[in-house]
Amino acid sequence: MRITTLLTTVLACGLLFSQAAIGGKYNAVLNIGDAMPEFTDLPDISGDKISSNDLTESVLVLVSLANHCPWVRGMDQDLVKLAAQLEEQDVRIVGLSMNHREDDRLPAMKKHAEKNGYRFNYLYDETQQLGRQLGATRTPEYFVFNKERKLVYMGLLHNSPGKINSDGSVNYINGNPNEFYVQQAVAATLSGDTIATAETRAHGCTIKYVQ
Amino acid sequence: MLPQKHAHMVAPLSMFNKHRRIIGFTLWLACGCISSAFASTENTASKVTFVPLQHTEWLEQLGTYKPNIVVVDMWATWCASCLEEFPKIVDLHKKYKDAGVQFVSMNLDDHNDQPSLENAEKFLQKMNAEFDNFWMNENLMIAFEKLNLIGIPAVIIYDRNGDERYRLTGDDPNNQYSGKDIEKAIKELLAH
Repeated sequence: MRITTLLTTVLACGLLFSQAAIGGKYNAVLNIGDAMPEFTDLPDISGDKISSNDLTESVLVLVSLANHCPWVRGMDQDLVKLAAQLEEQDVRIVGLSMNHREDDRLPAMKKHAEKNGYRFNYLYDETQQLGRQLGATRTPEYFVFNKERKLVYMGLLHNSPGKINSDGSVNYINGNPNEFYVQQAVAATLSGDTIATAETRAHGCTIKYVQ
Repeated sequence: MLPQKHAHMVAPLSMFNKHRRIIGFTLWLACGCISSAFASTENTASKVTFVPLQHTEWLEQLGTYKPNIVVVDMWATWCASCLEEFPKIVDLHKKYKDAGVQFVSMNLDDHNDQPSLENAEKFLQKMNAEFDNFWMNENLMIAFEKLNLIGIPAVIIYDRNGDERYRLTGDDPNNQYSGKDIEKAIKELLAH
């Protein structure tokens, strides 16, 4: 009996450890089904401070952004369009910036949001704690959480990442996008359906963490 | 549409059959060897090459570097960190090029983005990147998949047998690499 209990405990610990060490398919920290990391008083471009407890919507979409990143700028309007489409639904979008470059800090974030028509919270994670807990390494990278704040999707916005050119035009890698992963994940979560694609390989700039 | 500037190197890959592609690639390798032999007579700019490859050709190319240690820097002009880190690769090349260490850069700009590829070539010339510089001539997302990359910059280091020994990336927020890690890995492989 005691041996069985011991073996079960060892096995359970092993599973827990392997889960924590592996993370997701493309994420070293977080996996589908994991709880959303809590955060407190992150400064928003509005001047408010936002905590995870303030976010009460049924679905929460966190997205790592970086003003300087050509892939973020290339898909800014796709994000703005997504926010408009979800505006009437019980969904909250929150942008996050973690880099310490001047052009990714709060003053630049405010200008970038105004210029590009962001109508959602855009928080600066200066300590990079939330970014680390999310395992966010690229911009843009999307994380969709359900009402219980369990991760249900992470990765790309859609299947054709777009990069902005110096003349302001956008090159989409695979032509016009035709699979909208975040929208699908949000819709499935709201309706209680299964999410067809729960994880994709996000494509974009690497977030630089202080080591 | 392939970049015009590189069309002379790319055209055989798209026009000819598989056998001719292999012959063309072999010829390119031979030309590379010949040009290396006469490198001392060339000016600095002409020492910087920038050659398109598909993934299968890249694997063949990797095999030709044995028994050298191989340091591969994955980069793109859209990646600010890559541009910031690149001078370290150039410095390490100068330091270890005569110690049996082959340096290689693999560019991951969009293969259809001619202005970016031209900027990449200019950047390599500005950096005096006098080692093998390639660009991945495939759909960018597929290239990342085939190279098993999540993000760049990334440095992959192969031992003298051609086995991958180090994959230095920014994929873990709590364990991102620095230039010191590259040199440490090189020293460890040289010691064996």
